[in-house]
Amino acid sequence: MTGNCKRVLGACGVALSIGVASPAVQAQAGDPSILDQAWAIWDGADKPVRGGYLRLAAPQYIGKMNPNHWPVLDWVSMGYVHDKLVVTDGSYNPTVPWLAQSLTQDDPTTVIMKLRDGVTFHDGSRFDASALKFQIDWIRNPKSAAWSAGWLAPLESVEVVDDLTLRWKFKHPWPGFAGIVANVPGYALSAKALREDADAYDSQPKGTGAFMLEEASPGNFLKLKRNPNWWFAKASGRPDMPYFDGIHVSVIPDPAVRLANLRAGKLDILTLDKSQYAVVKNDPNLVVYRQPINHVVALRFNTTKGVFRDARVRQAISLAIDRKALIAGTQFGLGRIASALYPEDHWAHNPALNPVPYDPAKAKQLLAEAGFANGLTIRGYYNATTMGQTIAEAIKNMLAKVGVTWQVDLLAPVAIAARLKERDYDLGEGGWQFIYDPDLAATGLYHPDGGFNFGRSDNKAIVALIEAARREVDHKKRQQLYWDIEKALYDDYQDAWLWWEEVVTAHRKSIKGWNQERMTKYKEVHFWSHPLWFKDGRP
Amino acid sequence: MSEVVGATPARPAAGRSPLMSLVLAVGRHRLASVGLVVVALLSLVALLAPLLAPYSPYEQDLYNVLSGPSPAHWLGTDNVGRDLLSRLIYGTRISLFVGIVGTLLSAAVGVTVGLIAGARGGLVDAIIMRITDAFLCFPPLIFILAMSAALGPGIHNVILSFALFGWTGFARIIRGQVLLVRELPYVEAARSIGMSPLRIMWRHILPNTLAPIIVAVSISIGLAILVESGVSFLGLGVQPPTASWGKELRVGFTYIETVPLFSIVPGLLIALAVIAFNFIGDGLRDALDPRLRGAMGRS
Amino acid sequence: MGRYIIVRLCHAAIVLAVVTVLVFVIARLIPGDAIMAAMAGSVDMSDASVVKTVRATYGLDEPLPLQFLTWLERFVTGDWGTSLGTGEPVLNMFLSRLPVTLELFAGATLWSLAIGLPVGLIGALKRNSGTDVVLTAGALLGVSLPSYWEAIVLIYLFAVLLPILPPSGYVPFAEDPLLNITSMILPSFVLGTHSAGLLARYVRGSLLEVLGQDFIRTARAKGLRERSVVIWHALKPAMIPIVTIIGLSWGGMLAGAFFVEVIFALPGLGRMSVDAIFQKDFPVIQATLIAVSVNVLLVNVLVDILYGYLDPRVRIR
Repeated sequence: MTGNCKRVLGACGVALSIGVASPAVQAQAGDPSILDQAWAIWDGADKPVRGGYLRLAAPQYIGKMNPNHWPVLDWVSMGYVHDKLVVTDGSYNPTVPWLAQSLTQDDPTTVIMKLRDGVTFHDGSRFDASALKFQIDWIRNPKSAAWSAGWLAPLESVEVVDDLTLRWKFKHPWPGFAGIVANVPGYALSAKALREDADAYDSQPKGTGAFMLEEASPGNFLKLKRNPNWWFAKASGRPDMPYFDGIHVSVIPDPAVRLANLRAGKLDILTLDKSQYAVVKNDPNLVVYRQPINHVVALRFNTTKGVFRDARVRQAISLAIDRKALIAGTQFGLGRIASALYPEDHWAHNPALNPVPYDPAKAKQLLAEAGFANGLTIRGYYNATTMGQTIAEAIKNMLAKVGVTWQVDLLAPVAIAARLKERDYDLGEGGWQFIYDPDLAATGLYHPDGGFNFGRSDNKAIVALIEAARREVDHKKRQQLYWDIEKALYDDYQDAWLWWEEVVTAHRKSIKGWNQERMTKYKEVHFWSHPLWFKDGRP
Repeated sequence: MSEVVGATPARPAAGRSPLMSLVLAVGRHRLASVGLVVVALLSLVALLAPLLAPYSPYEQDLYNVLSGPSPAHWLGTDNVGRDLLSRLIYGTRISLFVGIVGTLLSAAVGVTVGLIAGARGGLVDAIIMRITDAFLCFPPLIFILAMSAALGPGIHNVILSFALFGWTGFARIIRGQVLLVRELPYVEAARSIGMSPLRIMWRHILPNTLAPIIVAVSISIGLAILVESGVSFLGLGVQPPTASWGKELRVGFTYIETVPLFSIVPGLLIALAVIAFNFIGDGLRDALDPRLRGAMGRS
Repeated sequence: MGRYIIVRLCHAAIVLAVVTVLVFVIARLIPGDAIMAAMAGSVDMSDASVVKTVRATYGLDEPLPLQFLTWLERFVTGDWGTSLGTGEPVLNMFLSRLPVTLELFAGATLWSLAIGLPVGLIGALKRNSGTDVVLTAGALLGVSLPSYWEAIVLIYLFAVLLPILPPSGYVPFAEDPLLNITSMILPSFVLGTHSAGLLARYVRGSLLEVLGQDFIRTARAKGLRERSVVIWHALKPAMIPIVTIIGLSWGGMLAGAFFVEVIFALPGLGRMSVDAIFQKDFPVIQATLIAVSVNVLLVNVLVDILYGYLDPRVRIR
C-alpha cells in the first residue's frame, strides 16, 4: 500500500511532454481506451467476489479530510475518497489521464483540459468544468488557507470553455503542470460542498473516489463505504468495482500492536516495521512482500552557515558513514545503498554515480585539512520515532569514530520544522519521500525558493541547472539536465545520501487480486485500477 | 504521598537520635529490610557500573543487532548491537539520579512552602493551601508531560517538572506537622523565653517533621523513577545515547516478538526499584505510626 | 452542616480560579507560539499579513489578561475552541471520548475491587503471617509495576502467544457487546491492578485501625470468631476511607490511561491528551486539564462533605 500512497513531499512535479500525456481517450462506459492500456490488463483467471469490509491500520488518524488543509496524515485513505485529475505511471511520469480525459498544449502557456463525462461527487453533484474551476479558484484564494496554493503560483487563470473543457493559462511555460494536477491540487472536491461550507469539508469530504465516508471517529477509526457509482467501474467495464463493501481504517499507534492485530486476524493488510520482516515471512497465514519504493534517506547539511560551508567537511561526514552497516543494522538489510538523490529505478537518476565509500581514515585527513584535527562538535536533529532514534544513534556513533561529536536532538515534526526555518542545525535528517517528478525534490531541497530549503543551500551552478530543467520541455534533454544536477550535487557533497528505501507489506491469505509484479511495474496507476477482494466475500 | 498525612511525629526515644531509631525500626521490618537491601544493591550497581558492566554501554555492532541472549551477551544486544546488560547497568544510574534529585528538589520546595504556611498561619496559610489544593487537582503526570513537551525533551526538564508538580504532598505533610508541633509544650516554652520564630523553626519544628518527610521521600523516589521511565517511554525523557530503563523498555517494545527480553527486563527493573522504595516507606510509616506499630510484619 | 458545606464550596471556587489561571499560563508557556507552530503547515508564515490574521483569529494579539477573560467566557459558555489537529470542536471531541474512558475506569474499578478487597481483608485477618507479607508485597507490586510494561506483556501473552483476547481496539457496546467486553478486559485489568494495590493497602490499614478500637474488643470479648468480627463489625466503619480511595483513584487512573489507551489503541481522553501534547494542540490540552481538574475538585468536595456528615468533629475544624 505504502508504495502507492502519495505524500505531500514528493508527489508533484513537472510532466514530461504534455503531448505524450494526452492519448485520444474517449469517455464511454467500458471505454476501450482504458481497457487497452498496458496498466489495465487483468489476469483472466481472476474471479473477483463482492463483499466484506477491508480492515486496515494507520499509525495516526487521517486529520483533516480536505487534502488542501493541513494536517493530512493518512494519504491512503485520502486517495480512497478522492480521485485525482491525472495519476503517475510506472516510470514516474504523470501520464495517465484519470478524471481529466486529456491535456493538450495549445501554446507554451496554455493547456486545454477535457474532463471525463458522467462523473459524480458523493453528494450527487456533477464533476464538470465549472466545479473544477471553482475548486482551483478556492485553493488559490488566500482566505481558504490551502497549504497547497503555492504550487499553483505559475497559474494565471483557469477558464471554462464548455461544460467539460477548461483552458489553463500560465504566467510562463510550465512543464510541471501535469505533475501538479497529479498531486494535492488535483484531488477533485465537490464544488457544491465547498461552496456551502468549506470548513465542514474538513470532516465531511465529498470526492468522486471509490469509497465514501461512512463514519469518522477522530483518533479512533475511519469507516468508508463502497461508492456504487464510481466512474471507473463503468469506464473499465467492471461494474462491480470496488469489490469491498467498505474499508475500516483503525488507528493503532504502535507497530508491535499493529502486527499483533494482523496475526490475530483483526487486520487484512499491513505495512510492517522492518524488524518484523524476519518474524512474519514464514507465517502460514500471511503473504509478505518486499518492495523498493521511491524514497531517499539522507543526512541534510546546512551549507550556508557553520562548518558545513566547507565542502571538505561535508565530504568527511559522508566518508565517515558505513552505509552497508547502517542498512544491515537499522534496516535489517531492506534498503539499497544510495549514491545520490534519485532512486536507481528513476529516469532522473544518473547511473554513472557510485555510492560514497566508507573511508574513516580519509575522513579524518579531510577534517585535519579543514582545521579540525582535534575533533569537531556539530548540532542537529532527527525524527523522534523508534526508527529515527535507531538511525540517529548509529550515525552518531560512526561520526564519533572520526572525532565528530554530533549533538542530535530527537524531535517531533513540528519542532523539526522550526529548526529548519531558523537554520538552527548543522546536520539533520534529510531526504525526500515519494520522488515522482524530479523537480520537486531538486527545487524543494536545493533551490533557494524550495519549500524545504529555507536558505540552507545556495549553489549558484546547481540553481541554474534546476531552473533550466524546470522549463525544459524535451524529455531527453530534461533527463540529461537532471543527470547533470545529480552529478553536481554529488561532486559538491551537498547532502550525504544513505539509502533508497524498501517497504515490507503483508496481507492475509483471504485477500485476492494482489499482483506484486505488476504493482512494482505500474506503481500508482496499478493501485487505483486494480481492485482487491476477499476470497469468500468477507474477511 | 497523601498516604502519609496521618503520620504523627516520632518522639525521640531515650538515648537515641530520631534518625537512628528510624533506621533500627526499618531494620526490624521484614519487607522494609528487603527494600533496603535492594536499594543498597541498586546503588552499588549504579556506583560500580564501569566495573560491573561487561561491555561499554555505547559500543555498537550493527551486524549483530537484536541478537537475543548468548554466552557473550547474557541479555542479548539492543537495536544497534549494544550489550543490553551493560546498558541496563548504566541505566540504573539515570533512574536513581532522577528519583533522588527530583525528589530532593520537590521536597525542598514543599518543605519551604509547608513551613511558611504552617508557621505564619492566617491569610498566608489560606492562600498557600488553596494553591496547593489547585496543584493537587492535576494528575501530576499530565503536567509533567505537558511541561516536558513545552520545555523540550531531556532529563533535566523531567527533574524540573517533577519538582514543580511533586512538592504539594510535602507541603501538606509539613504544614500538618508544624500545626501539631507548635502546640507542643517545649515549643511553647521556647517561644515564651523569647526565641526567634526562625530559630524555633530550625531548632524545634524542623527536626520533628523529619521523620514523616523521610517516609514521603522514600515513596516519592519510587514515584519519580516511575515518572522518569514513563516520560522516557513516551520519548520525552533521556536522550541518546544515554541509557535509561524507561527508554530501553520503549525501544524494546517495538521488537517484542523478536527479542522479548529487551522490554521485559527493563520493566522488571523499574518495578523492582519502585517496590523497594515503597517497602522502605511502608516500613518507616509502620515504625512511626503507633496505631499500626506491630501490625505489619515485625519479627 | 449548611455553613460547613458553604465554606467547602467557597474553598473549591477559589481553587478552581487558581486552576484556570494555572492552566491558561501553562498553555501559553509552550514556546514558539503554539498556534504559529501548529499553523505553519497550513498557511504561509513568511507573509506578515497572514500571520497577523491568524493571530487575530485566535485572539493572540490582545493583552494577556484580556485573552484570559475571553477564553474563560467562551469556555464557560461551552465554546471550548477548535482542535488544531482535527478541526473539530473540542467539546465534541471531549464528549465523544468520555464514554470510552468512563467504561475503562468502570472496568478498572471492578478489577480493583475484585482484587483489592479480598487481598486487604485476608491481609488484615492473617496479619503478621507469611500470607500477609506475601499479599502486602503483591499489593505493592501492583502499585509499582509500570502500566505500559504490564500492557505490553499482557498483549504479548494473551493476544500473541495465546491468542484468546483482541490485542487492541474499541467497539461500542451497542454495536457488539461481546467484543466490547473482551476488548476491555486487558486494558481495564492493567489500570485496575494499580488501584487494586492501593486499595488492598488501605483496606488492610483501615481494618487494622478499626480492629484496635473499643467496640471491636467488646465484640471479641463476646467470644465472636475473628473472621466474624472483621466481616460484621470492622468492615463497615472501615469502608469510609475505602470509598474515598476509590473516588480519588480515578484521578490517578487518568495518568495510567495515557499509556493504556495509547498501547491498546483506545479512543479515550488519555490518548486524546497524549496526541494533543505531541501536536501542541493547546485548545485540547487546556480543555482536558480543566475538565480533569474540575473532576478531581468535585470528588474532593464530595468527599469532604461526606466526611463532615459522617464525622461531626471535622466540621468544627
